[in-house]
Amino acid sequence: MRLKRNYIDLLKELVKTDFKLRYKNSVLGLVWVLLKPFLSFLILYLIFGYLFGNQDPNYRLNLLIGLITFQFFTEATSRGLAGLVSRANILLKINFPREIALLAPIINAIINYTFSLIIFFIFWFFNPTPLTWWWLVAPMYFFLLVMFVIGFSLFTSILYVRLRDLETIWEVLSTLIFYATPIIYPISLLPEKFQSIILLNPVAAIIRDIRLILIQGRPPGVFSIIYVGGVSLLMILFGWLYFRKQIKRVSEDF
Amino acid sequence: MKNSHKNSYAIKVEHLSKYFYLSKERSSSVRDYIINFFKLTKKKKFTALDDISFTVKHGESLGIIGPNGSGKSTLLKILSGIYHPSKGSLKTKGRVISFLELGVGFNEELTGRENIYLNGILIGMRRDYITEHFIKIVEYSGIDKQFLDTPLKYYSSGMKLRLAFAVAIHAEAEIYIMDEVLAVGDSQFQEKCKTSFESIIAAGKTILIVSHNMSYIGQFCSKVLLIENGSIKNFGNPNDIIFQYSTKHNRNRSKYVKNVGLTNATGKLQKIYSVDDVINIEFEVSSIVINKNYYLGLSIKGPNDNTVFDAHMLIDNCKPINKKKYSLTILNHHLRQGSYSIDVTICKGSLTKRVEFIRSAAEFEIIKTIHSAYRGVIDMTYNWR
Repeated sequence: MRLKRNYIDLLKELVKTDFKLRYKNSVLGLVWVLLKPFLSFLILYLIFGYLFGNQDPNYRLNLLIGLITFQFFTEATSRGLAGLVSRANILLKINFPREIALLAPIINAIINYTFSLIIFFIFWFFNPTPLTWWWLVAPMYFFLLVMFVIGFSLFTSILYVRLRDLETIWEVLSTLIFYATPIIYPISLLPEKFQSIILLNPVAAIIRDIRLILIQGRPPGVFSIIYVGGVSLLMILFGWLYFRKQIKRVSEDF
Repeated sequence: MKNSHKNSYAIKVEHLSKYFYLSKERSSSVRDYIINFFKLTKKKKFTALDDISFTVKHGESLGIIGPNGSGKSTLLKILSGIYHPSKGSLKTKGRVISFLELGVGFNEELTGRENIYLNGILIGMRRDYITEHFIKIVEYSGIDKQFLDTPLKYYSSGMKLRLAFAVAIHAEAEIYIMDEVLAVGDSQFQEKCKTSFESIIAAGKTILIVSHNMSYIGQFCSKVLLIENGSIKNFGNPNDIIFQYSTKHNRNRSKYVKNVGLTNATGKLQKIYSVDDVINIEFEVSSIVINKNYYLGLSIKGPNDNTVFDAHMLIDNCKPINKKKYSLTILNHHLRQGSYSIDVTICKGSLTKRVEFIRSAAEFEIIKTIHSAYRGVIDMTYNWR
């Protein structure tokens, strides 16, 4: 019992340290947490707003929620991937459940996401969309996305210890996935056959359903929930099994 | 029930072995990874620990000694749960805390206060426990309160070490595992560390130390485990094993340098010197190293194994006293009272390629003078105005 308590303290401390260090020695400090997603939104909006803005009256909100959700995905996966290696100096000296080293950066990405949501709600306030009971389902989608990301990090953090190319590969790949996900452009732009393939990507499916709920106020399809839920839960299950099996050996390779 | 707990073990290691598999080319890029995957290259098996068994009872303190590369650190890492044994088992009873390094997780950008919490929680303390003991930790470290909210990067290295030690010493556990972390800071702080360490032993905790410092091992440990080449060479009474180990490693094994001795100005062997005596370090060099570009190094170590002085020469450039006998004459040693020892190193070609190292090849003592109340190692020449 005493031990468990300390592990929660440890997780909190690592999250806090990561958060503090991020904007240490910067003049604007915490303001960046809000400013950064806003600026990247602004850039994309200024460029693509002209192209796609006319077809969609809610283009701004659609772009914003899609962008910050995807940014959460890239931030959490890339930091989760490096989770073990970046703390190798600690992991080689102290024994504690290694999952904590992965959860800390992911929780930080969640914190950043909630800050980004503030921007979304500021825009929403000036241009409201229907507020329905379905909104209560939206956090579940985010929860599934977090599960997916944790599962992904459980795999990749182990692989990354032995295969240092993975960080670069993932950097490139996530840029590709960004453009393969209908975030800056509407999905209707794609040929129909292509649309269903694109939506096999769970992140694309999650973004589509979150938009459906928050912007259009409509319920997501049952099949979509089952698909996204299934993929996420399988990811975390197999990720965890793999992690448990490999972690004993991997500390020798740090 | 209580009695059985007292007599039972704290650490029990049974037939523990550890192998490392070394592939010739470590695959750390995709290309190597794929090549190695398909080639199924046979990896070289390296036995770091071979069938180790021992038991440490509650309240005992065990010192682990052995030459570099003997497997001490691997054993310690397994005992701390960082590595997992390839074979055999390891059981511990009670809360284990291990200090493979002091100040793990210390971050230069964070303040002293933040680092106390981070490091403390990392080594296993609860947050409220640290808050409770915070003032004690700071007082122990001797760091001025005004520096607590200064980033660690502005601390001196001594301050960092003291802070790290102060956090460590306040951790509560039943079993302590340590790797050469006993002596930090100045002599005053070291005394404090020693006292704290003695009180941990007095409190009946179980301790496991790896150290090269035989005087510490002899002073604190009730049992000693000698490891060589991954297996247990000896286990038992500290005095016997330390003696066996140090004689073997210091005198008999030396291949290139023999009969290191100290003589005074008249050439007589002497162990005790006063402040203004001339000290000759004499030694015989084996003919194998002559005319082959070998360097010889002598270093004088003071209290707590700190090097006070160090000198090197190319053996071929030196004229021996007679056939094989060489010497280093120290005209003015500037040392204060205390015990010193001399380490001898032989390097080939460059100063980095060490072929022989003799720890404490000889010892000597500087006796007290008028300044006996003064501390420090060096007796500088000075003027007050």
